[in-house]
Amino acid sequence: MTSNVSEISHDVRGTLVRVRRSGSGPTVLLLGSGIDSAPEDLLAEAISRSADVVRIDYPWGREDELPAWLDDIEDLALFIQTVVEKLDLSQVHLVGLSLGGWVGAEMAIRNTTRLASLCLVGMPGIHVPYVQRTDIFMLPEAAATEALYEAPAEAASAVERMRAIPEPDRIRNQTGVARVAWRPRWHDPRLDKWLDRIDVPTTIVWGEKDRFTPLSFGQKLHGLIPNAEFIVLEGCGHLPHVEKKDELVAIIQKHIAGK
Amino acid sequence: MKIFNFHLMPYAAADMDAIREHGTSWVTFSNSHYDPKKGAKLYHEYLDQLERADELGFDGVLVNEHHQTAYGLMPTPGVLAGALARKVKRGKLAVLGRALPLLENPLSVAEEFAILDNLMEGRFVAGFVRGIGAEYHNTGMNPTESNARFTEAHDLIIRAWTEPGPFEFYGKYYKFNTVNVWPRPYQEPHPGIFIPTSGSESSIRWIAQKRYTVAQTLAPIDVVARTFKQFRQEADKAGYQASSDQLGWSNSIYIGDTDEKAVREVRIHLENYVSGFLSTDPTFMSPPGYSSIESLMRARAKVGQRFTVDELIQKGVVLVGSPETVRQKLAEYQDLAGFNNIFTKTQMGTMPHDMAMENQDAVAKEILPYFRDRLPQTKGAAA
Repeated sequence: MTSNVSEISHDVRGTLVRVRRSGSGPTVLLLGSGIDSAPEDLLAEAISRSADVVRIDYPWGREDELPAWLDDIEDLALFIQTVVEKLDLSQVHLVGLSLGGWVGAEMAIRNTTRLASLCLVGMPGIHVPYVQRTDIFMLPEAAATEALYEAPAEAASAVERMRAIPEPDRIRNQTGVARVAWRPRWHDPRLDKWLDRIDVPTTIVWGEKDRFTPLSFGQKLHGLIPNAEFIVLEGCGHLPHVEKKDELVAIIQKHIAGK
Repeated sequence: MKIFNFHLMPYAAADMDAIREHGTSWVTFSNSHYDPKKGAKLYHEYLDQLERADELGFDGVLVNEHHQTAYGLMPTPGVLAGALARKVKRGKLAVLGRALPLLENPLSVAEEFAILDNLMEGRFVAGFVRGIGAEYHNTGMNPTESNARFTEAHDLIIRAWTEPGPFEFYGKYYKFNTVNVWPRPYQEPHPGIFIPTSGSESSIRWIAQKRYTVAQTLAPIDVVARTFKQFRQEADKAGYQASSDQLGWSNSIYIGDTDEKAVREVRIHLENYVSGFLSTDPTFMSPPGYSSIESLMRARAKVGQRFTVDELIQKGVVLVGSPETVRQKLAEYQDLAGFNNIFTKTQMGTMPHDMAMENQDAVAKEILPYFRDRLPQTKGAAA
């Protein structure tokens, strides 16, 4: 999509992981949602105009079997951290979309020495009990896709994009996500008690109409991370980088610049 | 051939329109639809049917496990098996089977089955399953761990039954400082093991390698024949010749005076079974990681497809007809697929008690004596 994307596969713990890099400037580690990568390509392209954007694939999608070492979200976070160290990235502005935000938060409660800042966009990972929410694991693929969007037109194009992905690839991806997010459903019960360890500037971005991780999840997260900024995007569902891309790009740029 | 009487214990009093409107009887169909007065009556009727099946000379009676559904009322089948254990005097008693990956402590199954084997003085058959896709929703267990948990739980139970305790078990999912199960099973080295399966290649390979008995669930007879052919091939690869005693077909039989009358009588109950109790979204039943990508794709492709009652009969998923027709077809299918066990439901769907009792009487009279000494003939057995 972008002209100058370098692409290198690294062998990390016996798993081949693709790392894409483009642009120059401050280092941005963009961790994706784990689904629907096309809109994330567009976001990466936009940010890479003023930053060195690094994207690390999740350790699933290539092989039918999941890596033997991958049991839960902690393994995933430590894997991404290992890749960051292998690439010797420092002063990293970590931008995490949905699942990517969860992974980023799990990394940050353990070690922020390589981080300059955190931008967490509609991340699962913590839980607010008894709040009505959509469980995408219980829905057929099209309905699960639609549930992530507020605007019907966005939902419809997302379903089209989903159907264009070969089914085996979709299932491999769903399997990887299910490995880390099925149980407990989309959260790590230990995460919230350690979020106060995060000592880098943090911006939290949430879609007002998010049905997957409702606004109250964002509000709880905001209360748990010291000095975090909380930005709510009106009329937006779970994936601001699709539904409010320009606004999100501006937020990320401002966040990286230290406001 | 051994003929077992297999019960699903459906909630036959269910409001079938409510199930159809809701779209499924699994997981999300509210238990407010369960009326305990009607349910209690059904439990007693179903247990009466199984007790009577034993008196009638069936080779055994079988119960199974499903959770949070009107499809079957046996979330803890050991309770029902326990109720049967003192009444089943002649045949075997089997639980087909306990869903191992759903458990945090599989030793509870080692214990439960050992008690049943003691009560039955060795006439107990153990069944192990992974649980169906829906059960990974209603228990929350991770479907991507299903296969590995199953294998590990199975290994733990077999060791608990065969190695003197106490010993340490250190698995990935299950860790015990002391495994020392009391009672030990009555049978040496342990009860016979039947494994129900929808017939995925990896399951068939595993069952054949373990030399267990396979129970093919709800499938057209040509699929059953294919599954059993693969089983024999896998046994060959494992260095032994599979016996027809290791092959079991899970079916339903309904006998009427004539073919036409039998179909007419059973139609509504089979219809309620397929379009009511069984209905669900295939994606929901095929959570990611539950089986191989190919199996999941095959299962998910069935969206919007289901057998009609006529197809169930034509494709040989169920046997319906006059005594003569059922005998002919059963012999034909036995020879085609080469099995020497059937696990037969004589109550199906919403079939009421009297009708189920008459039907199992008819099966006992018209089928059992004709097949007791019959072995699969020709190609099925030899292939």
